[in-house]
Amino acid sequence: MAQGESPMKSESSSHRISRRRLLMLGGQGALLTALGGLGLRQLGAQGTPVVRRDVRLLATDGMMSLPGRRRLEDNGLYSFGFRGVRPDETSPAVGELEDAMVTQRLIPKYKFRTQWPAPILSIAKSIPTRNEDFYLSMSNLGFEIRPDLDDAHTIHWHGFRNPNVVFDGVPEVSIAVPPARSFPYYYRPRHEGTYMFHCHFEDTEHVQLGMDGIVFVKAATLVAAPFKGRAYDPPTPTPAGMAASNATRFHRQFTLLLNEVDTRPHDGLKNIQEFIWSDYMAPVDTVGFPKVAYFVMNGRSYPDTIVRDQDLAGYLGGEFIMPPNEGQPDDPTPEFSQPVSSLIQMTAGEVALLRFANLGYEQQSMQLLGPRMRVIGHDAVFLNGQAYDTNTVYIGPGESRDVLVTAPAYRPAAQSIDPAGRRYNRYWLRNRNLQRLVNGNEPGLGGQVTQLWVYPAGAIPAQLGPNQTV
Amino acid sequence: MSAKTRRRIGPGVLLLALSALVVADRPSPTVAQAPPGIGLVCTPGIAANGSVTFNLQATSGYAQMADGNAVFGWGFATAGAPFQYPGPVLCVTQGQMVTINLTNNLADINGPVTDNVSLVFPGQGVVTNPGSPGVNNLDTLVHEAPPAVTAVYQFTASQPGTYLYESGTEPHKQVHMGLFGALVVRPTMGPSFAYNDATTQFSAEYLLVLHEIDPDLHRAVEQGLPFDQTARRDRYWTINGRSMPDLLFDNGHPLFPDQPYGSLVRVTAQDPATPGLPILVRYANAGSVNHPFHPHGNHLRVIAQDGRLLGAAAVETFTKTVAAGQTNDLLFRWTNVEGWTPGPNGFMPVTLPGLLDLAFKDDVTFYGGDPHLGFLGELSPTVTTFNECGEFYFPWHSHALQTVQNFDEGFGGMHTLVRVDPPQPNTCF
Repeated sequence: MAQGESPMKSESSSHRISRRRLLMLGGQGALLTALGGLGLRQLGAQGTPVVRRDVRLLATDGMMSLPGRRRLEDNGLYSFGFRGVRPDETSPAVGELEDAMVTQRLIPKYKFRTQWPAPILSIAKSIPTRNEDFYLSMSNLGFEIRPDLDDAHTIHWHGFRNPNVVFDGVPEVSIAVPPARSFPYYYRPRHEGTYMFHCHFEDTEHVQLGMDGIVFVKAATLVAAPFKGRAYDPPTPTPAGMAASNATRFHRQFTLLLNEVDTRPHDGLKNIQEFIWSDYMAPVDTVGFPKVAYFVMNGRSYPDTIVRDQDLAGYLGGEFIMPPNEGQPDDPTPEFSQPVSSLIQMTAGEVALLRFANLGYEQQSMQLLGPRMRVIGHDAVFLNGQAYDTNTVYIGPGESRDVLVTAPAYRPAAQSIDPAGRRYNRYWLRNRNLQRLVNGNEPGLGGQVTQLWVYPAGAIPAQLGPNQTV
Repeated sequence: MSAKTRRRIGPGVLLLALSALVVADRPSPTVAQAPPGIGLVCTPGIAANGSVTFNLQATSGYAQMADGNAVFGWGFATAGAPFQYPGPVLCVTQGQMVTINLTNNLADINGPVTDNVSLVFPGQGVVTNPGSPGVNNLDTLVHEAPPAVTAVYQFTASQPGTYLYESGTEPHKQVHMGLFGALVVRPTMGPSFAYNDATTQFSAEYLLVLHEIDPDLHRAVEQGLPFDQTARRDRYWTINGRSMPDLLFDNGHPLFPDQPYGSLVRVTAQDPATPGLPILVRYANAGSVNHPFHPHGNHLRVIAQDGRLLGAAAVETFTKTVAAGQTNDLLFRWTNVEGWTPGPNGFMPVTLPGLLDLAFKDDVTFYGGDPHLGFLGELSPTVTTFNECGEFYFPWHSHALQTVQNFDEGFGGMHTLVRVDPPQPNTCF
C-alpha cells in the first residue's frame, strides 16, 4: 500500500487515475468522463462486439461564483447541477450494486457540491462492426439548502435520435428520478457531433439553475498525428472531389456552453421565494426586483473564463475551490465549482474545433476577432458542401455549431506573455451583443468573452482532453 | 420548486387531455363538415373557374388560456361565424386567383371601435383591390376596411408553400391581438406534396402557428386604454391559438369553442429497413420574436422557408429557430432504430428500477408502464396514465424555456407532443 492511500482505495480497480496524473491534468473534474469510465468489451446478441462504458452523474445543489457574486464573500450564486464522481474514486457500474444504496452512500460526500457546467461527456460512436454502449447512471442526491423540495431530476440528451422515451428523460411522458434514487440511462450513439444535455424536470427552472452540459459523439475513423481527431466521419460514399476525410480534422478541441443567468430565480430559490418565469430577464419583475444578469461560457463570466486549469486553485484566493462537506475528509486535490476553462490555446497553423452549444433562453451572436471561423457542423449534422466561413456564429437556444479555427502565423511584434512566461498572440472571442458583455452591475468588461492564444509552433504541449489548458 | 406549486395543473386537466386524444370528429365552428381530430384543418373557399373566394370578417371575442384566464382578442373568422384564434387556415391551389372579402366587424361585440382593419399577404407578390369600397392608408399604403365596410383583396397564388396572412394596420397592436392566420398553397403536383418536387411527398401534414400574448396589451385594447409597446411582456405562448396542455385536445373540441385548432402531432414508427413517407410539418411564426423550436426523438429536415424550397441549402437540425414572421416546411419521421421488443433477443439492454424507486410527476403520465414500443405495463395505482396502446410521446417545444410556461406554470406554453404509434398492425386505432 502506498503511503497516503487507504486500504479501501488500494482495493479499487486499475481504472483509477493516479494522483500524479490528476495533478498533471490540473485536477479538472470535467475531464473525468473523457478519461475515466469502464471500457468493457463483450459480445452482443448478434455477435457484434460491444464496448460498454459507464458514467455516473450526481444531481444536487451548490454555490457558483461570478464576478460580484463571490462565494468567499458569502455571496455566491445558489445553483442546481450535475457533477461526476471524483476520478480518484471508483463508482460501481450500472446494475453492479443495488443502485439506491449506491446513491445513499454518495450523499454525504457530494451533496451541495455540484459543478457548472456538468461534466463534458465525450462519447464513442457505434459503427456497423462495433457497438459503443454508453450507460449513464444519474443519482439524485437531493438539495442541501432546500431540503423541503422533493424535486426529481432527469437526463435529457438534447438532439439524440432517441429510440425510447424512458431514456429521453422528459418526466411528463416517461420517468423521473426521485431524491436518493438513481436511474440507468442508456445510449447507443450512431451520429457524431455536438449535442447537449440537461434536466427536463421543471425544465425552465432546472436548466436556468445550471443543470446542463455538453455531450459530443466522436467520429469513428482515426487520424494520423499530430491531429487529435476529426469532428465528422467522411460521408459514405464520399462525394467526388471532396477532401472529406481530412476536412474536419483538428489538433485541439474546446466545448463552449452558452447560458444566461437571471439571478432572481437563483436568489429566490435560496430564500424560499417563487419566481414568475414569464418575468425572465424582465427589467423589473412582478414583485419589484430589478434584473441582474450574467452571460456565461462554460459556467464562468469573463475574466474568469480565461483562467487556466493550472491557475484555478490559486485564483482569487481559492474562490473556485469547493470545501468538503461537514464531517467529510479533505479532498486529496481541490475540487472546483466551475472547473471548465474557456481559454483557447493553440500554436500557429494548428486547427481547433470549437463545439458551441446554447442552453440559454436567448439567441447569441458569437464573434471571433481575428481568424475566420469555418462552420462545419450544425446540430450534430455535418454541413459538408454547405460549410461556410464567418466571423460571427449566430446560435439560438437548443442549437449547436461545430466550428474550425486555424491559428494564424505567430507575430513576434504583437506578443503577450502568459502566466507560465511563454509568448503568445491574443485574439478575442466575444458575444457581439455588446449589452451582454457585463457582469451584473459590476464595472468593466465581462460576460461571454474569452480569448484565443496563439503560440509559436512547438511552444506548448499537445492537448490531452477537451478544454484542457496548458 | 415545491410540489405544492407544481400541482396547480392537476390530473383533472390532463384527464380531459386524454379524452381529447381518443375523441375525434368533433364539430368545428369554422368548417361545414367535421374536421379531422388532429392535423391540418383547411377552410375551403368558394371555388369557381380557377379562382377561389373567401368571405372573412374581423371580429372580437375571448380566448381561454391554459391557466384558466380568458384573454380578449381580435381575430379573423369566416363571415357569419364566431370569433376564432387564430384565423381560418385558407387552403388554395397554386395558380388560383384568390379573392378575400374582409368585413370589419371589430365593433360588433365590445362597443365602439374605430380601428380600420386590413390584410397583407407576405410572399404573395402583387395584391389588388378590384371594386373595393375600402380606403388606402396614406401612411402605410395598406388597403383598409373601415368599421362595417367590406374591403376586397385579390392575388394569384403563384407559388406553393406555407404563408401567413395578417393585418397590416397598426400590426404591433392588431396582429398581437390575434388578427392573423395561415395560408397554404398546394402545388399543382397534388395535395400530398408540399412543393412541385417528388421528394416533398408526405403521409400526413401538420400546421403549427406560433404566437405570444401579453394579457396587459389585450386588456388595454378591451378597455380602450393606451398601451406602451416598449413595456410589453408576454405571459402566454400559443401554438395554433392554444397552450400546453389545452393544445392536445382535438381540432374543434367543444371545450375551446373559439380556438378550433389542436397541435398534437402523430406519426407511426418506421422500420429502418423500409422507411416510408415522412410527415410534413408547417411552421408559421405569427409572433414578434424568434422561437427556437425543437422536437425530441429525431432530427427534422428543413426543406423550405417562406414558401420557397431551400434545395441544396436544405438542412437537418434538432432545433430550428423560426424567425418572427417566417414560415418553414419540415419533414419528420421517427424510426425504430433499435427495434427493442420483449423477447430473448429483443429486450432493451437495461433493467429499469422498480416502481417505488421512480417518480411520475404529479402522478400523471403519458408513459404506458413498459419501455417497449407497443406494450403496456404496470404503473403504481396512484398514477394515472393517458397511454392507450404502448405508444410513445415526445415533446416538441420552444427551447426558449421561459416560453414553455403558462404565466408562471410549467409544462405549458409553446409546447406540444408528437405521438409515435407502434408499427401496424397495432391496437392504437
